Amino acid sequence: MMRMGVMRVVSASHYFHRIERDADGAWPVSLPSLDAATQAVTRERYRRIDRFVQLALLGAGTCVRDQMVRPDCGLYLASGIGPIGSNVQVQDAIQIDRKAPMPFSFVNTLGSSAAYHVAKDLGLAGEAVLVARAGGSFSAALRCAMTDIAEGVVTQVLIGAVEECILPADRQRALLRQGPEIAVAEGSHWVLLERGDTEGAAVPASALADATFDGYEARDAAELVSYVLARPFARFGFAGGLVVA
Amino acid sequence: MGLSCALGFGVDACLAQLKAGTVASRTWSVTDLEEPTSFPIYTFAGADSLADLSSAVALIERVVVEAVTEAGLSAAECAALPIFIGASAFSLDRESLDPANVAKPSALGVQSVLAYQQVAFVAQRLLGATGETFAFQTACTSSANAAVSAMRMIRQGAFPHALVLGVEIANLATMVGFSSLQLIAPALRPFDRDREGIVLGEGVGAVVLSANRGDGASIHVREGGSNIDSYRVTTSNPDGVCIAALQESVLSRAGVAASDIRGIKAHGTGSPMNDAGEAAVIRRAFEVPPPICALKPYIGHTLGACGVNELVLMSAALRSGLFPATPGFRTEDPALGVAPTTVHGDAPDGHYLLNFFGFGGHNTILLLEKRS
Repeated sequence: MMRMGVMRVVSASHYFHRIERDADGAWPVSLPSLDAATQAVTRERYRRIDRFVQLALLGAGTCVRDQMVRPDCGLYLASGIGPIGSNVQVQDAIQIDRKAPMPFSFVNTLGSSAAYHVAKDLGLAGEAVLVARAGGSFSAALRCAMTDIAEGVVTQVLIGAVEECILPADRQRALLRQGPEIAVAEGSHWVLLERGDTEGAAVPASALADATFDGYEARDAAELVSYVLARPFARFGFAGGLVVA
Repeated sequence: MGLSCALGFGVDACLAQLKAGTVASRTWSVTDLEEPTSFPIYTFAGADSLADLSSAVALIERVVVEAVTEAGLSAAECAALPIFIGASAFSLDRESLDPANVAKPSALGVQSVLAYQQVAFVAQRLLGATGETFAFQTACTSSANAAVSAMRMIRQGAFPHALVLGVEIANLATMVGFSSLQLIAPALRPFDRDREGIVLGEGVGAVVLSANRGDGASIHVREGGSNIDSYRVTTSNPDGVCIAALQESVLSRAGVAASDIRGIKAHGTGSPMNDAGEAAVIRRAFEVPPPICALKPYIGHTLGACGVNELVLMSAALRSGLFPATPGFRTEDPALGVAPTTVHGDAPDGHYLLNFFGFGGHNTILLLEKRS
């Protein structure tokens, strides 16, 4: 197995919720509230944020809780779908209600709003990007983060993948041009990494495969972070792919 | 390089219009909302109405072909090209968002609503490329950040070339969204005492970045970087401290002193707070500020695409020996203490800063070097 330099996983967090029929076969009419969980891991009480921002705050806050975040820590947010709820709300306001969107709804359509709120809550002021790649946004963000580490621009990186879901699930499937058999889910998956001082061996991709995340836009993030969290006493790292020290 | 915008189609045509001082914004009337309104906007040159998405595909293809042709890439090099996209939003288009249209292929011909990721697929299909794709969404710094990441990955040996694209197609949601934020002005007047805000524009730009081949290229992206300022989500911090830290870090990594800067392409949106923050940085960093220009009065604020669009336009101008004037500037603002050039000047060899700032507190700076 190829040896390579590693990143030390300082901490990780994982939130995943699949939209499923209840015992009576009915689809849910609402998503679980994230208010209390988000409040527990953030400094401020937030108003005017949408679910996408809330998912980002929840994941990032849970990940770095009790950890030292360095001033130069880079923030790499990944999302393939982005703030879909706010986008739908703004488009509905224009197309159906024939009204201009509310200012904060419009601002929330930008993924950069989520990066802003995470940076503000954690006191980050370094490199910060939001990257998308269909079906592989987390991998793209990881690539950017590793490049910045190699360039010496940052020594610590916070990488998260956030995917929002809207209800009814059929509308989300329609927007994604997906058929009824495709699972709809939302999630927020984060890792805080630092440059390590050892080498590691790459974990085979097959070790990450998890059918739980089939059809999910952030499958790469969900598999990787859940793998890391299932092995709390091992040292893990990344160098293009996941490696184990 | 490739560019299509309000100035024209093709880099040479755009540069010719810039040299002529062309400013071609037009008025877009919105009549299908409860409260009809109208906005000034810079649309693609010669367009009587806003570009529809089918013509956007043709525009993107045209700009990509222009860029890879000038770069002299072989078919094999095109096939391996990674593609970096910069756009300001996920921009779900109206057809994709209408459940009645789900059976139709999306306007860009790819089965996804991830509109700006579709741009990468359009470019890949055109070039037969199978390399990695990255779509950056950091508001108005999106394509500038795409260029920074591409530059760094090339420098780290990930690949020899990268195609960086900036795409902004005018759309109703963006127009009325900015209007609801009360940021739209009748005219763009960066750094002017009477500046009132931005005028939006549409444009598609492309640049092929390559590892330094020692082939005498005249414009080099020497360095770049970004940071985030959590002052306000929609407003730059007028004290400029965060931008100043970024500028210092970019110059330091390049080993270039502020006194070596020959000119600054300002972000220059013409919004009161943005210009105040940018002016504060310039006052602090330069004993005698170098010439400053803003390009948005020529092409409008092309939002997430402005990084690449203005990189291309500025590079073309520098390459031709010209430091652009800033149309629309009339009266110096004593509170800012800086003023852009009002006539075209010479562009000597040396280093030039390109500033880009965006919603969400995103700041990005590119450092160019011109070598004859």
